[in-house]
Amino acid sequence: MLTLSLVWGILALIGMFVAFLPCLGSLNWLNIPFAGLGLIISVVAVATSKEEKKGAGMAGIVLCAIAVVFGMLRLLAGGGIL
Amino acid sequence: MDPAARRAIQALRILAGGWLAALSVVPRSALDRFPVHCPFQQLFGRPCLGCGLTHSVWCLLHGQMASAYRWNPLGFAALPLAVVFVGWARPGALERLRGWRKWVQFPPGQVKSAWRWVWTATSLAIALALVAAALPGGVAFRLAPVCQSRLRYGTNCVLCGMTHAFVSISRGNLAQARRENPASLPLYAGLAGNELLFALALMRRWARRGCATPHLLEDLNAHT
Repeated sequence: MLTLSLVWGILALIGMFVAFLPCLGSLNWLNIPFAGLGLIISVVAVATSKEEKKGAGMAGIVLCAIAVVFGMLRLLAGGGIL
Repeated sequence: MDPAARRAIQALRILAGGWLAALSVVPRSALDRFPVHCPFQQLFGRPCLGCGLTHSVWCLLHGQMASAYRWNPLGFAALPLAVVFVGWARPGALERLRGWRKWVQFPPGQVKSAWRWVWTATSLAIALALVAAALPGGVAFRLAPVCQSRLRYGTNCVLCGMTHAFVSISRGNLAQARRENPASLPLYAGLAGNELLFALALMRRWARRGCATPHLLEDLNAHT
């Protein structure tokens, strides 16, 4: 589950960068819920994992949070469409 | 921390420190005399997120706030981040945060496994896009979104004509693809190159272990 949260975070970040391209801002309508789901999965993974090293879960939380925050800013900048 | 990673952080720290020191002493005319040509701007004709960042940080270091904002608003984030990085990324800084160790440590092989999954997912998505462009009957045109820039303002964006160009490349008409969108050829080459590398990696894995996907699942299960 920790690996899954890291994978989810990286994919959300890639989606965020793609949505930064001009005219692809509306992709954030898909990417923000995707990153939000990843955030929930990462928090659950960190909270429930019995592994000692939880770096992957923390990385998942940070990456998904970045994707959500910057995705929202990008959506605002593009008026929710561009 | 891994010695190589430690060396890389120190090198970055020295570079960032040198960058800040140079920006705080050089005159503005020196920046304008040696312009850096952004590859994104050259390819797409529009500035990237980092364009104007050096000028913005220079303006901040010299107290010109409004000018810094006009050059690039991200300068307001870049300068404090660079200062913190130069000041705090000392050797062993992570090790000193003893209580936080477990939150920043990864079991061996976990990051590699995660990247393998990310590569698999992105390669499959790219393969779907390339197959859609190659399918007859205009499947790609039905799937591609209408450009909002052209719809609303009547101006083309940097991606306008990309679907047509990809379809032209799939049919072997490179000259027409170049006319439709000049950036399509390098982009298509990059995406196709990634697919080729992914296919080679899969075949290598198949040859070694008999099957690729079960191994990926083993990797994932091993760390969950």
